[in-house]
Amino acid sequence: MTETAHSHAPAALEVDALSVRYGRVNALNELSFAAGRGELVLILGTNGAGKSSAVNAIAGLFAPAAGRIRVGGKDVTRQPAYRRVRSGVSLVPEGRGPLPGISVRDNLELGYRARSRAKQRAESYEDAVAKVFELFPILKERLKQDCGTLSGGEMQMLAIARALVADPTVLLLDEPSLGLAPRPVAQVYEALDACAAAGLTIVIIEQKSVPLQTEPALTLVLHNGAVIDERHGSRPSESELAELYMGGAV
Amino acid sequence: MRRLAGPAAVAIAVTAIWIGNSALWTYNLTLVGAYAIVVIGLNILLGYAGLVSFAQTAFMAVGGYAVAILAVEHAVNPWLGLLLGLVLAGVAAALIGLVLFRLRGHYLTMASFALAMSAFGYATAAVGFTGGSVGIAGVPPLSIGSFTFTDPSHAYLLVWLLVGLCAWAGVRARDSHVGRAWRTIADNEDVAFSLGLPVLRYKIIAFVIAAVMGALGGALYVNFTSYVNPELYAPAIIVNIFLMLFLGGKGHTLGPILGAAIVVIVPLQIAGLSDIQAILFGITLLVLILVLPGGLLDAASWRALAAPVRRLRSRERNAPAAPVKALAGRARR
Repeated sequence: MTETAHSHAPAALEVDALSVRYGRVNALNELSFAAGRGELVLILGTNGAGKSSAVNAIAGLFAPAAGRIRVGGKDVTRQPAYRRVRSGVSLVPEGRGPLPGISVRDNLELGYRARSRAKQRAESYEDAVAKVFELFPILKERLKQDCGTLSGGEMQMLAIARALVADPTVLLLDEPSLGLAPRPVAQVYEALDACAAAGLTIVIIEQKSVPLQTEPALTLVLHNGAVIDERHGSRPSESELAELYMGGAV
Repeated sequence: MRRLAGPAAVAIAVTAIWIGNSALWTYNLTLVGAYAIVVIGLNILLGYAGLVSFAQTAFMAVGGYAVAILAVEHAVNPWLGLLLGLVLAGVAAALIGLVLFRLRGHYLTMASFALAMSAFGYATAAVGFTGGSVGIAGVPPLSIGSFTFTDPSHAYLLVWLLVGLCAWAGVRARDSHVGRAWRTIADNEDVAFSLGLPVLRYKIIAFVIAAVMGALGGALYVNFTSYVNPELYAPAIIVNIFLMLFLGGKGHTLGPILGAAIVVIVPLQIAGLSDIQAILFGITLLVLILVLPGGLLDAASWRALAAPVRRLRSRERNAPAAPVKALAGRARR
């Protein structure tokens, strides 16, 4: 549990003994953590460690076998994925979720439409989009382009922008650096730093360490669906991470 | 230009009738129109929402039998019969959709095939209700007051007006938020969920629209030919309908109309085709999907098809003598 869980305001995101099962396989075993507003949670692990299962369950893509998920104090565990976006949880899916045949503009509009009505009234589409263009200026140039023609880095930026225009309180990212060259990875993480500074709660899952400027409030290392390393305000070094992955135990 | 597709279709058809001005062509083109409506519906489901359903013939049957049974057995006005058929198909699709779309991919397709087969089987077996394999004859034509659409050219105009209307509705739906949601679902369902789209609802909307258009085409066909029997909804018809869609090009507004025209008219023009028609259509569909997956109206598919030829030509023209062999070797790989 982080400090925020003990303070008066409810944590932006609270995951309580979350378990995911595929048939008889336990993909995730009683994962618990909490993150306050503007806090960053980094979840590291190898393939099959249960990272994607965790964020997909938090995003509501499938129902967890057990456990609770609370967003801003509200229990969203049983909420279907499409309503959960309105509760403030947005997922940037693994592989960036390209939608060939759909323009950059339409992607952003889809994202904006995912907001609740109240949030749509609070901020116009133009204002919302202008904000993400500040983070990712390249998207403004690509606005009319089919998103199937974007480079990997641009598509990742679009996927994040698409999630951001829904005005989430919690942003989940499933391996945003996967398959990208170092430069776009740096650009993407620079933007995520800015989002965290602006008060967004971010959960990032990755396989290896990432170029984050903001020190994550919490770093978890998963192995076989269980947390094997947990640190507050610091990250395991690359050599420590290698040891954790290879050894599988602290 | 795309917005004009519907009106353009009507204009082409209306002109065609004056050019042709023959009773036979009017008759044939009316059948083309009825099928075109069915395929426009399938295009929304498969071309836009990416859902492969074989159930379209089942909804044609709902429309066709509703009109025939109500008008012949219960003397209901054919218009009312038509309308009830559409409502019935829409409601049935919504209810079936709730169950059907718990399945994805191949499972969904298999279940929809079962649906089409049960409709065909039921129409054949329920002799008391549907007339069995003999069917129901003497379905009265549509009429407005004392004006009946008995004259083929009147029926023709009515059908093509509805083709235009359906094509226009399809374009409107595609360009709306619903259409964008369909394409998102077709591309990647998980992304659709993560974008807050109620996926099941949008799938059912597509299924209901397709079903209503299927029923409309099916009902118009029966009204026009005055006859219904199970063979109109036989498994071979499913192949025909898919061939129509893939010939014209799925996702293209005018694709269903072009496809319906080719599949209905070509067999009529070539005598002695009927024996091997099923084989021929099956092979054509297979070859089409392999060679020209986007259909006749898809420029990108044609470019892909022509690419090897173009590459060969430009190589002959530009490449100097010596490195040609090396280049050719690389290109072939």
